[in-house]
Amino acid sequence: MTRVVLRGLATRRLRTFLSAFAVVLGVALVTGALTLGGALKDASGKLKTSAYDGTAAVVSAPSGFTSDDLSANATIPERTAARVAAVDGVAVAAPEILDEAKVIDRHGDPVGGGPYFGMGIDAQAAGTERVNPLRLVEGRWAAGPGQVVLDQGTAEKEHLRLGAKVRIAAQGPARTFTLAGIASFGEVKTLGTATVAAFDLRTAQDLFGKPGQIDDVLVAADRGQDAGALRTRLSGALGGAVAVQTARDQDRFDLVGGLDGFVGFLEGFLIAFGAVAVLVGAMTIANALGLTVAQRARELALLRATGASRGQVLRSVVLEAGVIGALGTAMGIGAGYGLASGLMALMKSFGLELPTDGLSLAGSTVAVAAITGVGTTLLASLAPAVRATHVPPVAALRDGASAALSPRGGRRSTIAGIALGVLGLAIVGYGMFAGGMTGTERLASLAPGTLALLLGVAMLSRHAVVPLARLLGRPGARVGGVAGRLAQRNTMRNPRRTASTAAALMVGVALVTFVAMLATGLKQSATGEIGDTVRSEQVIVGADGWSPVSAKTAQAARDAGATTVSSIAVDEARAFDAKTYVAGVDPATFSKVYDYQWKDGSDATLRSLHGDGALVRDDFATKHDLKTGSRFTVMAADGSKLRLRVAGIVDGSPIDTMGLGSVTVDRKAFDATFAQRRAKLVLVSGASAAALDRTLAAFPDAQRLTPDELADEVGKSVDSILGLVTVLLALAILISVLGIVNTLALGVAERTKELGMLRAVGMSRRQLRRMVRHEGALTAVVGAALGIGLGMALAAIVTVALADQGLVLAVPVGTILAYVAAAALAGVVAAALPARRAGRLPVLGALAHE
Amino acid sequence: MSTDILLDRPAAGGALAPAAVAAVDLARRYGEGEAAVHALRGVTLDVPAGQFCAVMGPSGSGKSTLMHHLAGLDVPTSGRVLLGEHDLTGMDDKSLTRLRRDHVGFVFQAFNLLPTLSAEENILLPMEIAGRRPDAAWLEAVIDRVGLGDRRSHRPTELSAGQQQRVAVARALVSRPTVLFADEPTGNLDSASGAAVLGLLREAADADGQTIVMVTHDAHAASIADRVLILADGRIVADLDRPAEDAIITALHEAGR
Ligand SMILES: Nc1ncnc2c1ncn2[C@@H]1O[C@H](COP(=O)(O)OP(=O)(O)OP(=O)(O)O)[C@@H](O)[C@H]1O
Ligand SMILES: [Mg+2]
Repeated sequence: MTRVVLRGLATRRLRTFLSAFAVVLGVALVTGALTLGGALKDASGKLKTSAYDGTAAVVSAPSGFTSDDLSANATIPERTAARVAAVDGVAVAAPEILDEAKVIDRHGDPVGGGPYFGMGIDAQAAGTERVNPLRLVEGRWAAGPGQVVLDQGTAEKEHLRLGAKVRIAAQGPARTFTLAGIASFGEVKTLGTATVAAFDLRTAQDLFGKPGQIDDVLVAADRGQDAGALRTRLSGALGGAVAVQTARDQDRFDLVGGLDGFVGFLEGFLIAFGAVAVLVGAMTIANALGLTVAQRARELALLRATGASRGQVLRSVVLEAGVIGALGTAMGIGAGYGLASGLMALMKSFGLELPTDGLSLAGSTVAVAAITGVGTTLLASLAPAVRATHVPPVAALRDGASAALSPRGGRRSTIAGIALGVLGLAIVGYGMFAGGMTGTERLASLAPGTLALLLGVAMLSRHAVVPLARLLGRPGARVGGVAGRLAQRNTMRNPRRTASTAAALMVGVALVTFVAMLATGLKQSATGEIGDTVRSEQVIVGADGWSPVSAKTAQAARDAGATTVSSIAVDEARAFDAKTYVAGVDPATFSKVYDYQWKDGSDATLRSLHGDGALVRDDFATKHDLKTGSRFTVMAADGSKLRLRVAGIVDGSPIDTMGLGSVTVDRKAFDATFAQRRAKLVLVSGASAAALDRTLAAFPDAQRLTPDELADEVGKSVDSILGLVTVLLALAILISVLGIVNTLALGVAERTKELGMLRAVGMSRRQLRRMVRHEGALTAVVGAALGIGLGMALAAIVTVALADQGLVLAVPVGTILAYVAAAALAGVVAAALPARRAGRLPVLGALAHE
Repeated sequence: MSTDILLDRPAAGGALAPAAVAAVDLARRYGEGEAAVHALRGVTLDVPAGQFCAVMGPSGSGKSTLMHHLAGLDVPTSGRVLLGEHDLTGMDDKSLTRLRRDHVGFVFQAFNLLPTLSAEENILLPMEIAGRRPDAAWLEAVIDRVGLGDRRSHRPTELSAGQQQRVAVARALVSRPTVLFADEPTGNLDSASGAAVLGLLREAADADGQTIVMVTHDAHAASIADRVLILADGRIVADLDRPAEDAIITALHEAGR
């Protein structure tokens, strides 16, 4: 029996290869995700070691939490360093400043994508190297007001040599420094998209506006001194005015929270796409095995007639799947390793370099990949295997053995399909509409619901194939003449087969459509919000679109002749034990250039905003049950608390396009509590764009946009995410195209005699090829139509459910038409090989074919 | 353009009697050297327009091979085939396809209907492939003649073997081919259905002057033809004009020896 199976696989080489390939992509994505994730975790672990482990303690201002914004954390007096040094067991007490400083490139734009570390440390002081994460690679440490040391990554990217002039933007206008040295961060050239600019302490204090102040004191212990004991002693000696923490707990480079979070997200993201690829691969394999069983029906019957048991037949199909799965998995693991190194190289080219000892294939990764690959293949083989056992031995003697196969289980699969579909809808509906869930939880509930729905629709799709093919095949039949019409008939000939082929494509297209719809809705709601609220002629924002700009840009706008200038500062806070953002506005100017959509209150409420009065966004109010007059408290990074009273409730989406946060207070109250002095946004009217650009030239990290341009920027960032998701889902679509190749190739083989007849009565090779291509295109378009319908339905449900979160229903007609066209093209491409085969058939040989 | 010129080239030789199809010293060898099979060893023949010609002979004598060559489905090792006004010698696959499309009708032993098409659509298939509109009256006449009036929208699977072969005959007739070729058209039929199909062919020859070349193993079937050729070992060994069934059997017997 084993020999029969292996010989079968060898003879059906194309199908074996295509089926195995369907496994390859899924396994490759999973392997790649795990390998890359492992390497990155390794890297971030090493970074933490080199950045933090020489430091026994970090002494800094006591804080409620560590803000993501480097410039928003509270400082301590510089003399604390001397007090720390005096404590018994302290070998080194290095005062440090860690703020935000952007390195400006030749074109006047900030280098990198943040965070933009600006360090002040007297690196040449004795012992500082024990606590300094930077290692000098070239030149000297910065000493004096005009000098800076940059990280190696930035210096290389910008081709900066020692002695070069570098512009750096911090609190005020950009200043020019001389590159004194180049340093690595631990063992790496840089930290992802981050940049590091290091000054001596005095220069940093001046640059960041922290005279006599420092952010922290880095402590190294005497030899043999226990770090924990030292920290206890430090706390006792220094009192409550400062906090003593381990470097890891304090995490000033955000390696624990930020980098690890990013790595985890990246890994999860890739694994999710791997899962989609595996699902589509499984459907493709189930289909391919189904085809093989149908084609081998006679052979199977013969085996049964000569005494093979049902169990043996079942095992023969499962064995075939096992071989395909193992083959695909082996290739997939190899490809996944390649994919991981490719992604590494890609990230490096984007400046996201991380330290590794090279990638290594972990045993656990191989195990997960093998279980995924072989496991899903075996699962996928069960249905066709069971169907194979239904071939009656007597079929060996009769024609139409394969016909005896098809109708079985038809009703059962319909019922199962309906059940799965309803279950999926129920899960999605519950997740979307049941009370007491956060938006994230709602979105998470989509995964199982969508999976059930997709499988259910896949099982039911054969009922839709005939009407869909009749409708969608019309243009093809018109354009393609007799070839097009025959192709249309062929597509409808075996609806089950067409459906299972198209269903794999449906999954990918459904997901792409879903994401595209949501992205379009998101874009529209975001751009709509800007259009609805911003009334100024110009907007000043960070060059990267998100980081705050110097508060002095407001004066620059006034210098350009602006009549109304309203600067908004936003800082991170904690409210109701959760992260929120609080905005500080000047009510007099802000009310002139910003239109709130009021839920409760009016423009007068904004104009009279003062003291403990706060405007809250309605989703925040609903979540925390706040009404006008309700009281609540927010906490700043330094732990100081601001008690507030709700003065008004405003409309707005949690997407928070402009990053204004969910609480808005008067600037005076803000400044009294929060450390943030820079502006998230400056709204400007009355100055010409040219004049503004001129006065803003001193602030290269700031850009001037019109509100429309701002909306475009937001749209572009949504588009780039959409693009990434589409590329990854395209892999799933690629797998399903392999399924189309499979089905068409089998169709050509099965209908050889028919093709011979067509050639005999005068059909040209071209017409024959066209017929196969049309069939491929139509199958693909049927799958795309199903997918688009399903994707749109899902997106509609989610949009309706999240309407209160500001999502609007939008149908990207152009994009969807492009998907249909792409699907048709994919079908044509898939048909290329089978069509060529069909065209090459010798007429007489084909006619004689049995 | 060039294919048109090729197709419109008048047959060489300028035969006096208008032959629908003719072969001149036709030879076909399959394979090379020791393993070579000489399926045809120099066949010269001339089927005048309107003639119903049966081809008989023992199994392996080259009947199908001869028919395939006459119909432009195969290319001879040497010799030539003239079909209507066209000399098939040296034609490429494209020209041969067009020639079959426009001048040849087929009836196969195994019917070879498309299961996805209705009876009527099957009948119209060759016209559709050629992109020609059928003459509506002629179509009705053909459908009527083969007795499928009430079955025209049925699929082949819903038809009996005899009905299917009648559809196949109608398909071959509807484009009024220069020659209709039939390879054992009654081979898969019971005698009554077979007789019906033969009757249709006979009627086509009589009523429409349709030229027919039919390969058969059945002496009774052959006896309704105008002429019976007997092949043995790749050569024509007998050429009988309106023979009776007994004469055919005798001739076959001699050929078989
Ligand atoms: N494609 C081919 N390759 C090799 N030999 C062939 C091929 N086609 C036909 N032959 C050989 O040529 C000879 C004539 O075959 P052909 O099919 O013409 O015989 P036939 O008279 O039609 O026989 P039957 O009555 O069995 O149909 C046979 O010996 C056959 O084996
Ligand atoms: Mg024959």
